[in-house]
Amino acid sequence: MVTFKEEKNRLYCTPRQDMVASAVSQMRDTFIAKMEKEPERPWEEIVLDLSQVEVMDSIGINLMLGLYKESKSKDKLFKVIGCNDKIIKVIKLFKLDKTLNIDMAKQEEL
Amino acid sequence: MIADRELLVGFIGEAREHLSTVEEDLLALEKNPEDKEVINKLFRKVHSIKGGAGFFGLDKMGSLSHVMENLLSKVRSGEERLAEGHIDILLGGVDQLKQMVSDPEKSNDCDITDVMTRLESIAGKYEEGNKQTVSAKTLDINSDALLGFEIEEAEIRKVANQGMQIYASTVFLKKDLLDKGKSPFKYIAELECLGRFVDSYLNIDAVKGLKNCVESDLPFTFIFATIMEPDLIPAALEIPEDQVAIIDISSYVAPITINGKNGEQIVIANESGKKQASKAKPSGDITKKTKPTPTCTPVINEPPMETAPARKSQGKAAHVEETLRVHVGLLNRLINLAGELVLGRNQLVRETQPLLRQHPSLLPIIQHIDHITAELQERVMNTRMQPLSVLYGKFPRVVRDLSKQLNKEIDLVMNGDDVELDKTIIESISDPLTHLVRNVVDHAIETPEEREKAGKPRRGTMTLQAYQEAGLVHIDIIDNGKGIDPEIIAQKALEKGVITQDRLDKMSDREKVRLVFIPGFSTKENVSSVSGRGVGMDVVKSNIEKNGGMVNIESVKGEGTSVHMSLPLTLAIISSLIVESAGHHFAFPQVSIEELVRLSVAERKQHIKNVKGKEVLILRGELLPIMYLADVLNIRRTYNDPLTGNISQNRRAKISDRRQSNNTDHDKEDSDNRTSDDRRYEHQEEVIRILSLKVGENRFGIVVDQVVGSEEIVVKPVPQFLRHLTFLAGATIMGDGKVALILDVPGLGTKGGLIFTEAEKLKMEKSAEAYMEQNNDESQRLLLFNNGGEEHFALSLQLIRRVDKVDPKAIESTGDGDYIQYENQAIRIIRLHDHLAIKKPEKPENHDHRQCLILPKLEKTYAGILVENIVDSVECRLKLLEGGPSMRGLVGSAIINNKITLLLNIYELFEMALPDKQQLSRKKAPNKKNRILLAEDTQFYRELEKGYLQSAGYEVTTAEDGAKALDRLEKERFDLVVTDIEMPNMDGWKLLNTIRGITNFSNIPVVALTSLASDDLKNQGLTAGFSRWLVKLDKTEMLKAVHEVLA
Amino acid sequence: MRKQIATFGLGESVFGIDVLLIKEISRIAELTPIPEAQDGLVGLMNLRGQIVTVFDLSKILDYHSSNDKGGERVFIVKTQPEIEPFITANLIANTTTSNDPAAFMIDTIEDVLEIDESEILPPPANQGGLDRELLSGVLKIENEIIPLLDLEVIINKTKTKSINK
Repeated sequence: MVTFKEEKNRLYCTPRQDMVASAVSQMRDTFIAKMEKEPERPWEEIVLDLSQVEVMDSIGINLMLGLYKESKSKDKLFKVIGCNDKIIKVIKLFKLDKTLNIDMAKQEEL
Repeated sequence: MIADRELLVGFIGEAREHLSTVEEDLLALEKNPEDKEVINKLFRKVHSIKGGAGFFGLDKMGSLSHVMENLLSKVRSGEERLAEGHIDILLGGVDQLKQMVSDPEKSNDCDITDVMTRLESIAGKYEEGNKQTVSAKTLDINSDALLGFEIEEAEIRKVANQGMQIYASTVFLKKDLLDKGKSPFKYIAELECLGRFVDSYLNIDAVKGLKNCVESDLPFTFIFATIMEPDLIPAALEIPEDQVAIIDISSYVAPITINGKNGEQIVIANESGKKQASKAKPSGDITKKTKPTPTCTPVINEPPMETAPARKSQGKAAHVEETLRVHVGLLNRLINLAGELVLGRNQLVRETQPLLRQHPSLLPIIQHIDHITAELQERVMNTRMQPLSVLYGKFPRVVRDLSKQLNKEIDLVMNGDDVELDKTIIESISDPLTHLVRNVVDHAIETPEEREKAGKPRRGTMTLQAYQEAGLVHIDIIDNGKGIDPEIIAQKALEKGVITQDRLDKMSDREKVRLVFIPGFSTKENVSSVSGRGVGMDVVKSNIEKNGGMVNIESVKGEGTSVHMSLPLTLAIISSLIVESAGHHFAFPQVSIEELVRLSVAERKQHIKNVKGKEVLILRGELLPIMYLADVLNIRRTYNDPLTGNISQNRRAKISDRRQSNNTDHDKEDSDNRTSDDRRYEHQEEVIRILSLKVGENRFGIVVDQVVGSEEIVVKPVPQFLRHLTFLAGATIMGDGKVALILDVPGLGTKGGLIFTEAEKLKMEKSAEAYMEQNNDESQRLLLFNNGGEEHFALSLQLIRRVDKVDPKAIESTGDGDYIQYENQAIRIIRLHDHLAIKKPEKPENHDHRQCLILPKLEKTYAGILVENIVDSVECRLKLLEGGPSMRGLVGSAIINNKITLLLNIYELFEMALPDKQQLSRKKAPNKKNRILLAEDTQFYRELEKGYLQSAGYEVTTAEDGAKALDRLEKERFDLVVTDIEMPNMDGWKLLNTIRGITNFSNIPVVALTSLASDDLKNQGLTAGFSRWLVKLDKTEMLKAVHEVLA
Repeated sequence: MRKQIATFGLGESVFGIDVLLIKEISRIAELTPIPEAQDGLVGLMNLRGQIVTVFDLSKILDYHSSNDKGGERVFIVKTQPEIEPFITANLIANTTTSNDPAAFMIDTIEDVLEIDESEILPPPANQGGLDRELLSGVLKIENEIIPLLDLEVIINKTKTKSINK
């Protein structure tokens, strides 16, 4: 399950469960559905809020990257927030921290 | 030939850690030879030892671990199956390695031919083949394949110098991880146990957008540094061979010259470096550094790196703990400094107390410092704490080897390996505990044949259990072996002349069993090679007691033995009672103090008697020899103050002879010298204060002049110049900066000429019994007080730790209640009228007079009851009024001194006052086999008695009345019923009759525990069939009776 | 080799000790007497959190001075671990002190003398009523003879000094 929140020109995507194989395909469909509405929306930035995510497996990483590429292809900024230490560690080793514009804050202030 | 000392120390430390767990793993493997995970673990550990040994030039260690590694590698690949004999041979190798690790410098002189031959007999033939199975391909560091990585040259050099290899590998997130049930984080964490990521990245090109993202399998490519050799890498990284390549860093590896002379220096001469790692992104500076350096570069100052094996790899890499090796010396220094800080804090708190009224802003600052200091000290102390698993680790092996040797079958059950103790204590109990464990295997548990004959299962069980309770760590060693025959022990003791027949005749079986603790006693005829080693139980006992611990033994012939040890958590800081005698302060370790007895002139005659020329205190039916502290230490008579030259007077007099008139003179003279702080003691001048001290099972009393208070003190060892004084346990610096001596209670007893033998104690008890019978005086000591209103209150003195006057102005209100600083602790104030339906004091918070604070004996409870006046302390038989005032927080009411007096239920009261803080629930008691059903309608007694029984290790089930007890009895098996007499629904008499009437449980012993103490009733009860008739609240008596009835 | 000798007064006499053996000179703090301790051991004192055993030097030396100025000061001897580096560096001759800090009560503090090692003479058979074995040598400064105490012997004496109770 993923919840979305729109605030000014940002779309906050908050997965409410772990991003693991069993949940990913459903999450992906939710993302796709949401992104299809993009042309009517004034989003400038897509923010993936991982504060509710404890574990992210390989497929979870794929999904995160998919969302990132999707945002790029639509010329949106992309940012990941609310990562726990484990996820940060993986992202750093994967050298994705720059790419994904990782933010340590749970919810940034505008 | 030893290279860098610090690195070596690091390696040896690790090797030790590995070896201790290797043993465990091998034993696990013996049980389950197919356990792949264990084999892998073993392999990695042995391999890391091999790597380190090679690096440090410890050749023999290297060869040995190499052979072991080979064998394990074949087991892993399935080429070889581990037969039982193989484990033995491997364990032999482990032993040899341990020996070499213990003295690495001599390890190359060890003769390892034997072990090697045996290992090679199973592994040797494959030895050569192994090297050729190197599977990974080799890449030059400059290879194009490494394009895209950022490798610092310094990093490569470091890696090379640590004897590590660098590998480039690729892992596919789905194929290599997801499909194997691993998350990337878990994988990375596991790898970090094996080595270090030099550089890495995830190639995300394959993901184009959301639609295809799930399908792509992304490659994670990384450069990994590890001491693992190429043939191991694919397995360790869990990837196919073709996804790994070795990076040739030979151009960076410097030949190592070891200056073996003083064994302290290692110099590296770099003669290559011509090849530059153009792909390694060297900056200009780095390139310069790679140039040959003609001079020697000492690297001694380089701190040891946290290399792969420095991480503890326990196979459960789910979370990797960050650890850092710190020298014990540094820790000890920190502990000392923290101790000093505590002293400084105490001084600060004391000195600023008078200033607080003028400068209230100081208070929060001081409290802050107070808390930080306390926390800092606790944390620092914790650094010395080690889990018992450090000790437990070796026992499976000990038990296995011994039982094999003796053809016994023994299961070892260990509980509580996470209980923590100070390192010093762990070290000091290691030998005694090992001895006890060996004893069980050697002496206690029978051979399978013997066991079968006795109708027991072939396999014996030994249980080691540890738990923390009441500020002590308890360790039980329990077996279901043949038990100790008290008659055999008695016979031996007689033969050895340690006891006379006369005394023996008077001893109970339990006491006879305890004769094993008498010095020089050993039951096994021939000291076998297995245990013993010339060490007897007496040495175990003295070792444990030396560290402030206690040991006891219980045994039932034919059923088993249980040895119980209790130990302080830490030695460096103890809680102590500070007393004053002949003008000097002394500290007694709180653990050896049973209670504080305070006798008024009137009580003195009644309680202090002269038995055969010696003074004894009669305390609840027991006779305690008593001595003046000043006399024992010879300070009154001969003590000569070197500074003033004053010679103190000898005022020695028999306590029982001391008349009030004798005292008046010197009391006056004393009080003249007192500071105002001491004046509050004045009204107590005629009172005698006796500390009831325990040495093992024995007790004696020490008379002191004043009780100053309890304090947490930092124990400093006795200076070497004073080591011959056995009555000293140490010294400490008090809050006022003065040095105080910490007294050693057993030493004090010896010095005072007390010799305890079981028989003498028994004699004392016997005469006490006779005395008590004659006086018919089974009573309770109660403290009487009031709250300024009409009501009178009482509380059993046994439940009180201290009573003191406090200034109501010193009470501080905070959001969650009122507190007062007392003994450097914030004590939560409990006022009776806040929790009980009673009147408030007429002048609430009367600022002109001091109030009294009663501190109960409850563990970890920093709260006290604030009352207006302490009226008296009386000794009386407690008979609760029926239908008298009763409410939550009260036990009930009784007529005391012709007044209706309310007896506080301190447990309930504290639960009401501190609902979240009060933790009355005790830790789970050890699972001894004796189960007791306790029927008691009063909650206070129920909780109290349950606690008593649990503390002695029984399993206790409670019932609120006789009917409920009967219910439980029908459902479960119990070994003993302890019941109150007066209960609703079904009273104790009826319960007994019913139990006796039902054939199934007609032989369950039933013990009456009652406040009805008349002799007639008692006789009536015993005639009716109660095994014992006991009076409530006498813990010692109750436990003694319960034990005897169960035995 | 140059040496510094700290001198102090005890009764009417002046004694000297190699400065390198002394940790510090301090005012005596409040003493905690030890019941049944050996002769000459006057008690324990707190020196900035360290427990120091204090001895009456005149008792240890069996040197009973008539002029007792009260012994307000003590010199604290370096412990064995503390002198080890100096021995290694050859700054003082190999000697043994104690593992726990010991302090000796003296009456007055005098000068620190700069001397050359060669100025130290072997102790005469009897130097002002002092046993020869207590001295490591004597210094002759002008007309005065300053006995130098052998701390190793003195510390040994503190341990063996009769426990005559």
